[in-house]
Amino acid sequence: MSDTEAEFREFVGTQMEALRGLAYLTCGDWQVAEDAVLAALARLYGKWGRVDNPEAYARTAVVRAAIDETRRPWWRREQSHGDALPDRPAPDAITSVDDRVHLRRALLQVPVKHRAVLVLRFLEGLSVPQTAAALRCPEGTVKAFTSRGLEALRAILGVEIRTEERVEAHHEAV
Amino acid sequence: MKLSELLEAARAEPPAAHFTVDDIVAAGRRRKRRRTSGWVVMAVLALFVAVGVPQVVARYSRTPADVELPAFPRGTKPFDLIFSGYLSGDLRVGDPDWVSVNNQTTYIGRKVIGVRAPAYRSAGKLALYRPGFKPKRLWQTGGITPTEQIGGGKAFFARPATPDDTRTDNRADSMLVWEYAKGALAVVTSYGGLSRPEMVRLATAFKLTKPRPALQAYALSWVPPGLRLVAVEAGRRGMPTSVFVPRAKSADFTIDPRVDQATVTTGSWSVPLRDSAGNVVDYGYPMAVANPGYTPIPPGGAVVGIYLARMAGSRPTPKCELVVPGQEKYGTECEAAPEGDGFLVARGSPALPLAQLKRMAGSGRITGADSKPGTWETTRESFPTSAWVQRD
Repeated sequence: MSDTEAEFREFVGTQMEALRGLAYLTCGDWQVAEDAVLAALARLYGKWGRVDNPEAYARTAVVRAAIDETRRPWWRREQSHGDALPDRPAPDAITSVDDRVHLRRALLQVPVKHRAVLVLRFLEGLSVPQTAAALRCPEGTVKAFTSRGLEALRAILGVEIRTEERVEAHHEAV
Repeated sequence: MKLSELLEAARAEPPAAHFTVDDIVAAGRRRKRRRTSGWVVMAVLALFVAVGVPQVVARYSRTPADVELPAFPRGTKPFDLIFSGYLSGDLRVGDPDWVSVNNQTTYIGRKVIGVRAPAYRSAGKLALYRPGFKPKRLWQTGGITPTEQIGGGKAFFARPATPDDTRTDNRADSMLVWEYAKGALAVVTSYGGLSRPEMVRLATAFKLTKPRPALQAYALSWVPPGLRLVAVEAGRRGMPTSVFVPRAKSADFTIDPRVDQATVTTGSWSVPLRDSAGNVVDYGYPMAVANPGYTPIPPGGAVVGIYLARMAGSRPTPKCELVVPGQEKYGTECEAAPEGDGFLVARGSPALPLAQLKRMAGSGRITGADSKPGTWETTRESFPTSAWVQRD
């Protein structure tokens, strides 16, 4: 095994779980999320050593692949059975599981691109320009999707949702 | 509840992964092998295209004199779009981006090598003028070089004239002018990077389409009596800018192809849309960086733009203020939130009374849904008839 491949393997080992979570929040299906991560990291393998910031590249590729997966016609997508058969028993308290299921359902009601913007900005901590670059859209669209995504989430959950001060400052600038 | 904590909670406790690091490395290797063999096939094909195709084409191509100049599409109304985007080698011509009472324009982009598609860099502009309209002082009369007919129409190369307005960002270095339909001129303008053969190739590949109206997702019910609607942005996907000028200047208004708006108003190009069979149905459009409504205000006129989203800070009634406080010469800007789910900005020159600009902004209403062109109205239906340019 070459040094380059060893580096790539180490990178995948440390980043895979985070990327799966990122893809899941974007597309809303663990199976589809895995497909997106697999496709994105396979692409990164071919570019390894030529990419300046592998973390940012992988994050962007995974989110884009997850969005693309949601657009694929249903007949070209393998059916996921993840919802029907849990992969492993839920280890934590019932209330926590209920909360999580509730949260996931709420997130799934937010349009996929709005959700992607919220995830990149508030979970991954990307700025408006960075999010716009990652999703290849204008900064104005990122701001609009942030506003609309937050509004939708507030309406669905029926609670006030706070965002970081840095992001609020961006809103002010809209 | 903090959003970052909420998102963390939602992705917690994932099911066990169905693949390992080995699976990813194996998939990466397979992909690399496929791409390497793909390049070999492409190289062979490229050799055939470079050597074989020109010989076949030369043998069977017709002489320019055989081609008949098409007629301008019948039934075309003001603000109807008469062409669609197309590709020519590594150059890409967008769908109509701006349409005015006398011409319609779009960007010409060149594919950037070494960057993931789609990435294009502004290379020039295509402008089509309505039949009978000849642009004034667009090219120098002294520097004309006739060339072979294009699509049955006369053609010549010309040197661009310097714009009257020296503030504009003039990037034009050469032009190809040709008659694309009976009595109607088109111009390919190069911003320094288009060769003459490429300009001819772009012009030859151009095709007229059935006219279709430029659509708007909003309407204004009132426009100041002295102003006329002269141009609308067709490439904004429902969030367009519209431009108004005083009646006296409206009949000759054109979008100037010498100005590369891509440097200030666009970032990258959108991904081409494909139908379910994989065919490209829309070659996309340059993605805007500047917000709708933020194009230069013409002397004595106004520009209006809208976002189809509720934005922080929008208000139900127009709020107007000087663009640069204390500097009236820069004009006034009014913000409004028609029906509470959009954000409209109307920007007026200092010559336009504030009360009129305010009334104009307040008359805006949303007429269509975001990203649903089927719900949008035609440009003619979206503005009062008093704002139309009466040509005859």
